[in-house]
Amino acid sequence: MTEQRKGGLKRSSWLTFRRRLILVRRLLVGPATSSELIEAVTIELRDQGYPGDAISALKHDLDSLKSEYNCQIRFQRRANKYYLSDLGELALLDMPDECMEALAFLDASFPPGTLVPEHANVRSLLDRILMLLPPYRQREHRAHRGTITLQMSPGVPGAVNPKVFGVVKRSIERRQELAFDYRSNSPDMALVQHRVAPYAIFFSPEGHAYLDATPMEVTPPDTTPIKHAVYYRLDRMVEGSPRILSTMLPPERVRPHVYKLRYTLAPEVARRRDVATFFPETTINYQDDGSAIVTANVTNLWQARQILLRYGDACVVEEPDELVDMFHNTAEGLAEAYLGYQKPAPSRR
Amino acid sequence: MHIVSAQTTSTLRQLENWLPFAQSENNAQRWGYEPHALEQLVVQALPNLHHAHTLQQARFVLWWHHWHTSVSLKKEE
Repeated sequence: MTEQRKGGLKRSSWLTFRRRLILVRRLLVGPATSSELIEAVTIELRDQGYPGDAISALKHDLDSLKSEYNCQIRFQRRANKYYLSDLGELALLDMPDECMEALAFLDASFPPGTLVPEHANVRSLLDRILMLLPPYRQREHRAHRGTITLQMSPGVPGAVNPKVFGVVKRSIERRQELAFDYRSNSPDMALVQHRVAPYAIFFSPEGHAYLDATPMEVTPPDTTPIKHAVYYRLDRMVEGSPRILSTMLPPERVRPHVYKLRYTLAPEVARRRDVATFFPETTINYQDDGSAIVTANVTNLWQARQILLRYGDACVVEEPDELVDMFHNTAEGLAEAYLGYQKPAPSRR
Repeated sequence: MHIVSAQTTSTLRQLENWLPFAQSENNAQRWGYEPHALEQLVVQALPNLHHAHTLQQARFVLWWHHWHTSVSLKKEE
């Protein structure tokens, strides 16, 4: 065989190998039609990808991936697409034991069918990673029970409508105002329309999905603080009501109103001098009697109240007045519920 | 009856969102715009502000419109 002929063969098998790798990579992204697979190859290898009969060559490549590397690739006639269900010998990702432990941790913390993994696509990522592991590692992973997990409430995936979630997410990505009908807790204010500047979706440790937004207009007006930071529960947005408005938002959020927060923690929670910091710019001054005076900046009073309530009666809020009022209402409500306290009727002049 | 057109409503909403940013630039750069003039500046800049993906780009758009306004005013004088 001449040198030229040998060089040609080497180049041809290298191209075949590259082509097949591109096909596997494309199928790892998701199911694909023949033309999508050919397109993926053509984008990378241009006219060298499939110079002749592309369809026949593609079928030959897929057959080789199945027979030579034991890849499980199926053609689904209804969708007219190829699906990759198992990488076989091409499961090339292996990791040290520490990383396998991390994978077990994530797998245990984000089980299928729960709120956060469903909406944040954590399961899709984990499933892809698991698929890339060689069979013996996959078996090890299945047998291994994660010893460390995040204590997250499972939430209810169905509670957040996927369409609502999608519209809210798109409004944030597009930096446009969002309008929606919101179910209030108050029995006399069943539905309230909100127009907001949306900024982020987050999941609370209790398992609820929230939109962090700045309300611009509320109809009919209620107690929602306009142009302050407000967290909206996505499951309370009425299905079909969220719509993206044409109003564009500036690239950065206009800083919502900042409240100076000051509260005192009783010695029973502050004596060990290991008080947690929950808010931005927190300073803690431990006192000689074991108590602590904490100051911080907050933008969301509702959230601040939820956090500080965990201290029970070991925390007294001194500033801002708005938050002190909220605690008065909470304390009155608790007294009503537990001690039969009767709230005095507003005096008439 | 006071009728507000959809166009006016849309402009008012845009102003509501962009004025705080424009005001902070007005203060930082000491341009000295009165509220009505600042509103006019933002309304003129709105079509370009929509294409700004970063704060720096938005600042540049405002600066450009400020410069343009200053030059026009000088010519009129």
